[in-house]
Amino acid sequence: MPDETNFTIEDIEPRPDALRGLDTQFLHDNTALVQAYRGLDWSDISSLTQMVDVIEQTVVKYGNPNDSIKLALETILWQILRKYPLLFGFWKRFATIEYQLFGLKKSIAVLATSVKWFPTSLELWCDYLNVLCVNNPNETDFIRNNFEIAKDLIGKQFLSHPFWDKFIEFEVGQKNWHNVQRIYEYIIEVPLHQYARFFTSYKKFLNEKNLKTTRNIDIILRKTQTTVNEIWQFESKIKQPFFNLGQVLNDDLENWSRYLKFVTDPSKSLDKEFVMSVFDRCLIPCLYHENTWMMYIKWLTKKNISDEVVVDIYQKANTFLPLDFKTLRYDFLRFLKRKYRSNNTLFNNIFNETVSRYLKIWPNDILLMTEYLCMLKRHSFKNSLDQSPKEILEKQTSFTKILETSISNYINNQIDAKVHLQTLINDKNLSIVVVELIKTTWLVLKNNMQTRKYFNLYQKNILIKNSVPFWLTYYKFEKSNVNFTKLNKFIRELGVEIYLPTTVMNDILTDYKTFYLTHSNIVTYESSIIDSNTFDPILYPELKMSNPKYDPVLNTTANVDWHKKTEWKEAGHIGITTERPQISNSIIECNSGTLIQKPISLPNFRNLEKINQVKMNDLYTEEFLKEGK
Amino acid sequence: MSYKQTTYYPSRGNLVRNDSSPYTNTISSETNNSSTSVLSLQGASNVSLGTTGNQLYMGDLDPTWDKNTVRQIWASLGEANINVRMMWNNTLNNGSRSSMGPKNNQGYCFVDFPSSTHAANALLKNGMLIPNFPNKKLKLNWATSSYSNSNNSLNNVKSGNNCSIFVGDLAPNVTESQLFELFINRYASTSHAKIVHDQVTGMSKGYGFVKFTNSDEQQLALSEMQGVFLNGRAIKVGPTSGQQQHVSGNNDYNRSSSSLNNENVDSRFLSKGQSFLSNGNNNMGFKRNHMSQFIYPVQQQPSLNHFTDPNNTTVFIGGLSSLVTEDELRAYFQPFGTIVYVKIPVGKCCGFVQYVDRLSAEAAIAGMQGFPIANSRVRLSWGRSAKQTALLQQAMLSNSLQVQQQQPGLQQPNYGYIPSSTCEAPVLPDNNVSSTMLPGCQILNYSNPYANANGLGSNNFSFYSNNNATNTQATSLLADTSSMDLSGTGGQQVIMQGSEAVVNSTNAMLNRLEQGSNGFMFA
Repeated sequence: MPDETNFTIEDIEPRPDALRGLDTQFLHDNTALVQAYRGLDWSDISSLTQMVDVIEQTVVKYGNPNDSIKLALETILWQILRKYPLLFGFWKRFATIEYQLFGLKKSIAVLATSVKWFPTSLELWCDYLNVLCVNNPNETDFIRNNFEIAKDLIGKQFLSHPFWDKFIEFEVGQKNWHNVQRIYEYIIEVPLHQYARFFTSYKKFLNEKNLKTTRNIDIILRKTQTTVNEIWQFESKIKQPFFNLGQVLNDDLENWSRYLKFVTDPSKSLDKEFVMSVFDRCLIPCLYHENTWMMYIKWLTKKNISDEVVVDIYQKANTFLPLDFKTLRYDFLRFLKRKYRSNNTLFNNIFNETVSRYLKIWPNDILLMTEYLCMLKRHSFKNSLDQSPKEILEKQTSFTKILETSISNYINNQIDAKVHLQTLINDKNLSIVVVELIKTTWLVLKNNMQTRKYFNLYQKNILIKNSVPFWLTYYKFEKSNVNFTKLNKFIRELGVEIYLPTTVMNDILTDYKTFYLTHSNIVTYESSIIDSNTFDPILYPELKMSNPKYDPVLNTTANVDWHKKTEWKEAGHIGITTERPQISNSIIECNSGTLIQKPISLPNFRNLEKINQVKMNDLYTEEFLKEGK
Repeated sequence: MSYKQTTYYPSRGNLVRNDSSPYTNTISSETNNSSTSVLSLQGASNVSLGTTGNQLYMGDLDPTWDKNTVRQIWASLGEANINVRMMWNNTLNNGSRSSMGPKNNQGYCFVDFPSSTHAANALLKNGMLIPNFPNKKLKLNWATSSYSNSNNSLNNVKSGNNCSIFVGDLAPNVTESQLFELFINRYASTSHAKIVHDQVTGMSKGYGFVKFTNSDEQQLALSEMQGVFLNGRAIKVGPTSGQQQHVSGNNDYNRSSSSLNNENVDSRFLSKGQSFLSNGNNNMGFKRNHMSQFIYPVQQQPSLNHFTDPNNTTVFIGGLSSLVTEDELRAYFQPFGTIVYVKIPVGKCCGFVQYVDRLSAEAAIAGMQGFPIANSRVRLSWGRSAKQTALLQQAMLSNSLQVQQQQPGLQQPNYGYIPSSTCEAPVLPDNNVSSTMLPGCQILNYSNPYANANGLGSNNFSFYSNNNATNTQATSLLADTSSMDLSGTGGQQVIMQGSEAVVNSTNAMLNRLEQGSNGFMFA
């Protein structure tokens, strides 16, 4: 038996197209199936239900189809359930279909898989255990083991009485009275919907078997009764306890919120496992609600629940929450950093995995790389007070070496898959690695020469050229050196050769004005004026504010063609250019002496014919509307 | 009633058309004798046809004359029993100048005689010196000229009765009489003006139709009235449905004739300008012939779209690298003004930035045009708001965009004529001198041409009112440029306003500098 049950449907390869390779005649005969699959709307529960309906009809129609058809059908179901493992009804129907197609063993395997993918489902556990009891009554240890697992997962759920009935029935069948009493002792403290029934039957059981209990059952009964009465106000209002696609009803959400507030109230001091089961149940319909997950984790952390459980909840949330939820996912990273000290290797591994995963979802989040480098340095290159300075220096030097190799490998497209850092670098966060390298060299190793070399080397790279962190670090570096020649050059190149966001450029310019006035002197100022007559370090930043393309060199040479400039053609009507008429024989700037000799000729115009040729470079229509068609 | 008579209004036609008009021919000819004979012949034929009444046109009046003066003149000529209808300058459309000065006539009037015989006899006095008014000659013609009759019949053959034009973009408060006044003052054959009103609300729908009896004037109006201001808004003219073909053909005709006209005038001006001036023939139609020194363009009002809408604050960013995020884009466009939203549609390599006010958007387009963002130079233009874009895309899906874009067709470039003031007086008026210093802003002051069409030279510095559009544009250009200069420092001004704001913004700046260098930018 164990061999067969070890088989799970997870072995089915999740092919992207389940119908590929099927007999054309079959496809032709079953257009409903093909249509349902091709037109499957993954966000619509009725579309998914229809798909399963069609599969069931196909199974009925063929009875025992060939292997490729069987595979196709179970692949479709597996695709749906992989995406929505909380649709317990589909699991049940899947088990039935598998029973019809392959027989009992595979059907049981489906149920075994279902409780693995949806472990907090009372219905699936009941089904699974029922099937196990009926079909393999001899595998007592295996079944009992599963009952024990289920007990921890769903045993505290308010409506879990069918499970307990089953468990008691099983143990009674085994005539294991000790176990039966153990179960009753457990149940009577659980606030169940049918708590009273279990009390009665427990008392009856004690009487029948002439057993004694060490505790006062009546006191426990009263306590359980109080709890049940208290939570009944919430339990009675749950309209949709199951998972469904689409929005959860507002009433339900409010009810859950009140319920969770009640059970997490410290003054109530309810059983932890019971509270967890309430959270588990809430997270079935509210699977896509980040807040609920966050609330759960917050409560777990406050109650000092073991890190494994918390990490497990984080990982679950990671799997299920839609990808645009960032709060919980970044909170996970913070949690791992916080816990790092308690188990270096484990949490470092989880941290690295998580960063890898997040970088795949959000390749543009450069913060991830910053966090990763921090952790890398902390884990692999940590120093402590008992180390000798030489050792510390060696560690830091090797850190820069690693960074430098990773950068050059990435730039040369020779990524070493064995080095985790190198697999994480992308176009967006390369500059972060470079900045880290430069900062370590400059601030830790105190090697100004090498720092300047790095700056010169990397600023030519196209991926670094426009990086804000890189240039801000450069600006800081030159400021710390009070190198006005370099700084002036940098300020002048802003917007002309170094393209940074206007906000950042404005920030730098504002800061530089102050810096120059506080750190420079008249001698430096005059020498910089002499160096280039177009650049005045005091006036220039003012002129470039919010005018990123400002370039005095361009402005001085453009005087002749002033009428070709966009500013002239637009004449304040931004985006609309006209060639306005001009007098071509203007007497302005003529030698006025010649004007006496002969009368002034009448003005001649040029561009008169272009007066109504209004040019609008309508990129919006051309590039956006038409492209979008 | 009143506009029936104004069909006598001297035609503004150019030489080509004048050739076909005996009336205008007469007044532009030099020898009075021959013209009289032509006229009398014409008059006789009209009488025999029975189409003429007892009314005469009398031109070349002194602007100060009124009804009584004209009555006295005719009384002294033996025709005491007459009725005079003076043509006064229209005070509605005149600038301040005319309302300040004495009331002037338009240089002509209509005289009713007791019978057509009286009228025919009176017409024979054409060209006579007027008693008691030295240097003034009688200038007469039939009130119902063969010109309009024959042309009317021609028109009817040519284009049926449909000599209407469409007039759009009307201000809501424009009345039919105002619309009619506007056209009758320029086109004598204007016969009817109609504004379309909403049946339910009774409000003007902002468009209407103007009917002419003369198809030439209809065509002229189509080309000249584009963008003329009425009640503060530039009107839009277009052919009525079914006339498109006709119009384009006529436009060509207009253009060729106008250039022909131009050459003619140049030569005529050189040879005969002096005699014209001494002749003192200040009739309007006459003046029209020699006043054009060079073609002067009429700038049209562009149709309203996202480029010309002054309330549009959405900037479209084309050529955007796919690496750029909305937050980064915001950092590029933030300093130009307060941003409403930044949007990067998925997979389109473009973005949208909407500002709160127009100046910010203009400054952003001017400042960021061609600036490289993530190694890709962005191309900026005006966009439309997200809502409008969604509507447009919906419209495109239903293929109705083409319908939407079919606005009244743009006219061919139109040309008006610069007035004769420069020819008559070689010295440029003050206004022109000053405006040449501001390239592109030729005329900052203007007056209605018809306020001083008498041509006495007291205020003869006049332009076609078509230039209104150009002028106001020029002024608005000035306003816009000056305001744009301000906007560059707008951000700075805000900072200077309150000390708390200064502290906050400085703190934010220092934070950005610090965090940016640590790689926490846009986190």
